[in-house]
Amino acid sequence: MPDLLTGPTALILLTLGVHAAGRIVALNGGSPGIDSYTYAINAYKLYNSESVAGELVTDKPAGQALLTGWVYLLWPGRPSRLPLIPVEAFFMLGALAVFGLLAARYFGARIAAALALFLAIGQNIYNALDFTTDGFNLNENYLALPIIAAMYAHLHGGPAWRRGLLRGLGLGVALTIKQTAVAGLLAVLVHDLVRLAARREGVRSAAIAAASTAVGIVLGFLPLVGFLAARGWLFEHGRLVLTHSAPHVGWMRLGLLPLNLLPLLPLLWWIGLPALAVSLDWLRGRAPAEPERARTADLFAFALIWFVAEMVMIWMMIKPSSHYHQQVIAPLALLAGCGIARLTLMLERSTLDAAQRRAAWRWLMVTAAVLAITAALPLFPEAHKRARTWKIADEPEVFQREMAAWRWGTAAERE
Amino acid sequence: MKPLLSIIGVAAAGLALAVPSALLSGYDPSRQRVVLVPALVSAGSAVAVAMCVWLSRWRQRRTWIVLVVAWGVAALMPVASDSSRDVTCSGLALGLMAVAALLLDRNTRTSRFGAGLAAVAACWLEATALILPVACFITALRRPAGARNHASLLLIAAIAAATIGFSRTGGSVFIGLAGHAAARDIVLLLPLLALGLAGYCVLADDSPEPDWRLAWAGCGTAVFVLALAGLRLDLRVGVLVLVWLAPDGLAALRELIVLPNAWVGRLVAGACAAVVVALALPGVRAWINAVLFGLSFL
Repeated sequence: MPDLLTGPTALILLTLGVHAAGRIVALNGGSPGIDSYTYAINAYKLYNSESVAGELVTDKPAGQALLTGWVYLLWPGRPSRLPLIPVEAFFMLGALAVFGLLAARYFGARIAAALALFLAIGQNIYNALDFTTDGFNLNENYLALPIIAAMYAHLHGGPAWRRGLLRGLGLGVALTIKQTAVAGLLAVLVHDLVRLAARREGVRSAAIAAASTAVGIVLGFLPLVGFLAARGWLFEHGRLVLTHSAPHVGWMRLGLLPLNLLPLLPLLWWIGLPALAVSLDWLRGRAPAEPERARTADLFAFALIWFVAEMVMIWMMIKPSSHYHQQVIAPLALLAGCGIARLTLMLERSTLDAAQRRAAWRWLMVTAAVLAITAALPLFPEAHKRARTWKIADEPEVFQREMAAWRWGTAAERE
Repeated sequence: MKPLLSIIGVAAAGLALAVPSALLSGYDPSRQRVVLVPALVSAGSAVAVAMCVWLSRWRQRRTWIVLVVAWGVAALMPVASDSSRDVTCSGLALGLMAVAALLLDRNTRTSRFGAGLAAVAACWLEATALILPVACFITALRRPAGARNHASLLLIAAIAAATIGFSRTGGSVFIGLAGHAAARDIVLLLPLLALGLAGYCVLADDSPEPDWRLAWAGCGTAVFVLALAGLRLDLRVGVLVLVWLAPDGLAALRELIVLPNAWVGRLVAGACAAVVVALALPGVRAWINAVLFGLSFL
């Protein structure tokens, strides 16, 4: 029975439950006039033949609008946020699935499913219970899939040219959604340099990967560039994005950094405890054997670089919004996976007998489960409350009202 | 003489711990006073649960382990009643469920009959108590025909009682705005959840045959998940099984902590213990608040 409850199927069902609760909370989060309507109308305008370039959100590239707005061409009813629900779900669940596949290659299906659950908890809490936005249809919800797919390609993309091309493609698409995807690009390039320095990769292979990454990024940009060019908006939108992006970059005052660590509790458990164990092992003068180090060392190095790059990116945003933290959770989940793998090895080589090891594992899992419940708990009562207040029939009217009040300019200025 | 003294001691200490919490759970904000019946029922049921845990487990586990669980339950159960539809009915159902579980442990003909009666009465008071007859039925499915028939009869009687009881109390089956109260209750019950889940794992490892407590725990987990999903179920009644299993979880933790020459095991156990202590802090704070509330009457 405990195996059934902690098996991949049960964990996937829980992940879907967390996602559903998170989306209910996000969809009914705020008053009209904020992000979810901004980006929904932006997507609608992109495909609307009567729009002009200046009507688009001008502080972000129109990639998200391109990826989502097509749905309005197929939607039979009046425009509203409703058709975006399955599109957003595809991107968010797709990100979880790709992350699960990546983690499963290193840690097995069960741990991968648990990490995907922790990722879903973090994503949805930071996204849906943010005080500055209403969470639904945010850039970060679409950003995760191409970035995580790019990271999958970076770590398991095969030959250098294919690895570079695929990761470039993912990062290119991500960069058309939001400029903050540049942290992912930085992470893969720095990791390539680390591999080069550690002689895990040759100079020629690294150069091929870098060049094909550039090609991939160009390919990732092509659909948006082509679409904008076809509508004659390319240069004006490009100019507006460049001029309006700059004011959002700087250094956030440290006091403004939102430090709500509650959604990360299960991840911090799996990072903190192995870190403590490894430190104590090191203090006792016992270095890990070479095969032990090599098993997840490369992934650990990459996840650490990715995490630092994303943290720097958050710090460079001048506004404190907790949904910026959504991008930090995937590298943290990979680090947690490395922590679990290391702890497994330490328990295996300890003097514990099989029954004691099993007891230790049971307690580790139970503690992680209770911490996950603690982290996810704020989501559910909000979902129950907000589900009662959502008036689905009003959606088209509110959308029309928002569209009538639509002003040209940047999204950030409207918040 | 010694067992009798220990029973009196555990009950007296349990009562002392339960009374402040029960005063808080019996407080009616609209009338700005403590209503006697819910407060008395809360205190009585908390002591009953603590005593049942003590009586069923004190021979199997170390004294201090069972005492920590029993007294913890006595102090926490009354304050974790924010989301209960009716505090009095929920408290009575809790006490009856505990008695039923204690009697089921005895496993004699008379005790099984008494357990059945207590379980049916609990179902009449609070429909969530249905999980105990359901668990008995699931376990009996792998037993001889006689046991299956008894379990089926018990389940039918319990469903009838729960239906009558629910139609008497009424109200929405969806948690709605009570979700935040349920979340507050869950926060208070989290240490119990950790110990109980660990105990469940120990029991699942040690039981070669289907055990009614395992089925009960499965149903309790289902109640917890359904409550999170939006059904208005009584959380205290749902997670009562974890009280039964918590001594096993705590014992397993203690065994890991006292292991000689296995620092990784001790580190893991120590970290888990630290988390459980941290999770217990909201409960301790709630109990201190209850004591201060009680003192305000003096």
